[in-house]
Amino acid sequence: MTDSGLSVRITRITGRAIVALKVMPDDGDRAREALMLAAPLRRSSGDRFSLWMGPGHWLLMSDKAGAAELLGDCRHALGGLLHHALDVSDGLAGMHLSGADSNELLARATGIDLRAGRLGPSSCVRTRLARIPATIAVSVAGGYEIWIDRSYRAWFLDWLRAACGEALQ
Amino acid sequence: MTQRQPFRAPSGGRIDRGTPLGFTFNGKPLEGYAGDTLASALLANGVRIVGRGFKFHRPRGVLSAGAEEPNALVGADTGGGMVPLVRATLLPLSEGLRAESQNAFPSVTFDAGRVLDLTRALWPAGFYNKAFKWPGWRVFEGAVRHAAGLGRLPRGADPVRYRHRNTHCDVLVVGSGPAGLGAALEAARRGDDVIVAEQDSAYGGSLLYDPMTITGEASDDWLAAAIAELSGCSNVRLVRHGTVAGYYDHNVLTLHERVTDGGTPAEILWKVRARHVVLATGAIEQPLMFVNNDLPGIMLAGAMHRYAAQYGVHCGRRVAGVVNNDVAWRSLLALSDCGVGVPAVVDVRANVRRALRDAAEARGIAVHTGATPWRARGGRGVKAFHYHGSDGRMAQIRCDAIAMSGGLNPTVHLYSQAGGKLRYDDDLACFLPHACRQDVTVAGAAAGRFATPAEYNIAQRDCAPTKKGAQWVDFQHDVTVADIELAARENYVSVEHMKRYTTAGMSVDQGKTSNLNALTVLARLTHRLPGDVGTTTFRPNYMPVTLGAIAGDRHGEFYAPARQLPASEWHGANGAVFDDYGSWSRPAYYGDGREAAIEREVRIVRSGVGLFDGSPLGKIEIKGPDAATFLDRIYANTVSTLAPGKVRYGLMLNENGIVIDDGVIVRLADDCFLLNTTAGGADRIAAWLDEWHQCEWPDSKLVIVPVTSQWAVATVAGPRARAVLAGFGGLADLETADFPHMSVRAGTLDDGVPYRLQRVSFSGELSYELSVPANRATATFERLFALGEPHGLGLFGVEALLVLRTEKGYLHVGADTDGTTTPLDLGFGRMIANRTTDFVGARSLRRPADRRPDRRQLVGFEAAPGAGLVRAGAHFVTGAGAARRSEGFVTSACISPTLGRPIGLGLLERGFERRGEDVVAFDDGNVTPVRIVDACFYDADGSRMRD
Repeated sequence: MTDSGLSVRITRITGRAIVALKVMPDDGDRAREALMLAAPLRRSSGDRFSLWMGPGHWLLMSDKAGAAELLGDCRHALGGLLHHALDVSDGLAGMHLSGADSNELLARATGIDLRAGRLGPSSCVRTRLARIPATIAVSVAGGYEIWIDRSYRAWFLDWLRAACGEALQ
Repeated sequence: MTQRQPFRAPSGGRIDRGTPLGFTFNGKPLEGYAGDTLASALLANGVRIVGRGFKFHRPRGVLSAGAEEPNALVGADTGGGMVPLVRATLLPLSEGLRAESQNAFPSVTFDAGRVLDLTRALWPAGFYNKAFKWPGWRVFEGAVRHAAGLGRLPRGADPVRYRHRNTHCDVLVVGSGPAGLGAALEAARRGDDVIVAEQDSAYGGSLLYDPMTITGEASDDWLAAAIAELSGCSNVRLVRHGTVAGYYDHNVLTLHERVTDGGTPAEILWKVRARHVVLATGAIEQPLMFVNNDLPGIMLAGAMHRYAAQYGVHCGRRVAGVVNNDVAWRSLLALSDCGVGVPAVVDVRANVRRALRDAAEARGIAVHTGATPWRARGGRGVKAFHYHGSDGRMAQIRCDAIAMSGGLNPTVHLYSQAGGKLRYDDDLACFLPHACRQDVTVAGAAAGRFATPAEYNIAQRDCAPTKKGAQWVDFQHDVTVADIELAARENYVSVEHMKRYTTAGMSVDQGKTSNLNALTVLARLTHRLPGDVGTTTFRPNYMPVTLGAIAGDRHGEFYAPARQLPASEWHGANGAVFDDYGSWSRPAYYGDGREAAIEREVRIVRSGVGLFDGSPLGKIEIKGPDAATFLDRIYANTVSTLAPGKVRYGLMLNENGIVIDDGVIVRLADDCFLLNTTAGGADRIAAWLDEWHQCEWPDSKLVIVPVTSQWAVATVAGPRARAVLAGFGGLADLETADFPHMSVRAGTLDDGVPYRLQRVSFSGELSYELSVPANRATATFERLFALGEPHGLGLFGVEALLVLRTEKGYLHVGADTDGTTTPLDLGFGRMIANRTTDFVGARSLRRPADRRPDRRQLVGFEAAPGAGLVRAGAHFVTGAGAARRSEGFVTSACISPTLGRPIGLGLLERGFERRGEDVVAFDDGNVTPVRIVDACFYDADGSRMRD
């Protein structure tokens, strides 16, 4: 056991446009093809990318394009397909976790298998993190992107700080 | 022997004699060595009595050397406060350790409670089921509860740090004896991700005191090499002081690790998800049953061997062996080889192998076979052992300790928790793992491989009840053979019934040294085989886990996740006093003085205008051509007839017809709806809708998107609400003609921000709910607050809103309903009757029970001015004294600032037909006369919110 804190860097993700897209589960493949969306349990990459949230359900994201553009993409690409795309940029809070002890920190909060090879680059899972519904996406550049409902942000950041403050090895 | 530790051998053992450790037991300073357990150190110091029996307060000493210990449960303070029920056999000795015995007054050596033992005949098994009937249980309850329990809960702050940790592995090996380490090496070498969990402080299990040859090597060498190899593997994690306590479905196991290596003590509760589990948990030696077999100094033979070999502790000067199997002979011979005096061995078997006899006699140990153990003699310790020889004559061995062995029983607790079935093996006289639905392997002694049947040669356990003394079966719960005989005589012949009647196996040790003996006795008494009697159910936890470890960090501010409003800081800056509502932290009221603030806020809304943060209101969008039909099925009222741009109240039921949520339904477009749910029900209802769609009506063309946190909601309520909003740029005409009550409009504000405006009211006043993206919440509240200033706008919190809605008689699901309330009970009978299509819960509402006239129905009540608040939870009662009966209860109550008297809502039997009747509200002894009235107290025709 050491009394030093965990080596984790936590940075807030701001200014990202996010659109929740849902189609009927049976239409999932067509939607994925039309918008080049992420495969199940994956995060896609590019200027406009997406997180797979479940059958027929994605979060479309971009740091460059606005939510209106993402909504426009959906309208354009999914014309005849029953879908509902909504701007949820304000409803979600995102943060990026990196550092040597990221896995140790997450292991205190979630039962997801974080071992290399199980949750590799561009993986995306929904789980409960410190009892909060959360989406964990493995960043292409390393580390984890975590998305939670914005209402939990303050509590979750406090929890992260407390958990980082003491390490039990 | 050393002077300070009179029972410590001058050499031997794996302790570090160069590192003496001081500790106290019951305040007496003692000394041990690094590598000791508390139990080994106490034995080295000649401490015989470590505790008292739970029921009869008989003196008890250390029985075992492991997790099965039933007697040496002590309070122990290793720097983190006094923790009760710590097994001295597992607690590593540490400098400054304070330990104290439990369940004794005034001291463990002289315990006044022993009087219960002297009157033991009055307290047989199940006496509490027969006694205390007159004059009533309550008379005795205090004394019985005071006597019950072991140990004292620590007081004050707990300095121990508790954490949870999740992990995955390919192979979890439980136990680090030869079988466990062998399995771990094999898995590690093939590249599996391995965790080895060892509950003791050192790896090796029985190898630490019972050396053998493994693959041609001395076991010490093999052990050192194995640990070195495993420690060097990046794919292996070794966990000491870690007890696997629970085995659940899907190979999920809990591992309770006690971190003791310096620093602040800590406990980690691991949740391990393993692809495969190897249970190498060993076997537990069982006691023999004879009279006074609980005296201090009587121990399990294997434990005595371990104390001598691993800790250099002699548990007696003259140790008599009393056994029924060959494995125990090995322990006795090893004891003798360690220098312990073993004058004789008494074996119940006549056919003891010649080699064992010779080995014993070569060591000067007298051998008595074919004997029948009778009794141990002594008071606070053993003085002699009496037995009937093979010739039937009584004989005696003078001794100060007895090493007994009733054979081994595999430690199958975890296997059984995993769903594994057990079978009784006649040759080994124990229960063995048989078949399990989970991916688990049992290895070594846990699988019954402690010896071949020929080398083990155990005599079947047996013990005839006697009235000439107590033969103890369960040392921890003070259960005797006679207790089991009584249970059988009273027809508690199922092992589960016997367990509960006698409490055998029900205490902290969960019968690790008593279950097998108890069911063996029961089998004899009921003329069955032990395998036919079976075992009781093994449930988690295998060993006690501290409540702190179970809680982890879930205490204080992290007890439960708290949700914050988007404009939370703004509310705080404006005097909000926050409270928890569901999972949300919301302004309860603003300013000082709760009651005065609530009253002031209510008056502002009734007479002027108030501003409220309704952001937690659940918001779920449903879109698709089948959305209307779907919602017709989900809600108890019809939704499909709602016109676009309109809003309707909706009531949601579960399959049993019970009200689970309410709110308004907004039709945004022909094929798109917005559901507003209760704040606390938003997530639950979203999941509920998904379940019905995915499981029951998957062909319905619709999609469901929860958007609760995307939108902040500012509610402007009061006669001057329209005037305030009129200054808000971008909102169109707000007059009733264009924008009537229960309608919605959406658009873009002057600054390009999208908005939704709903004209709905939960206060009974003219009211608008303005929704904007959450990041605009603070700016929106600031702007509305500024716009409202000329109109006397005031902020109001949840408490004022609850008063406002109570005055109006509006339902608050969860407060005015419980798990039995149907819409018929709430006065929605006409709405239900008008439904022509099916909906969730409809069938249940046709049940006669849901239509009984004496059901509790929602009514209003009022008391005379000045009567004082009738609190929610108070009962409407009839009769007095013993004839007093509850007819219902108050669900919501307040002293109405508007009406100037106590009012409220409640569920009352036949409530609808009792309006105008005077009843009595009974609240914790206070009686208040109230009159039953209509639930709506204010503006019954709704003109204030509609005009």
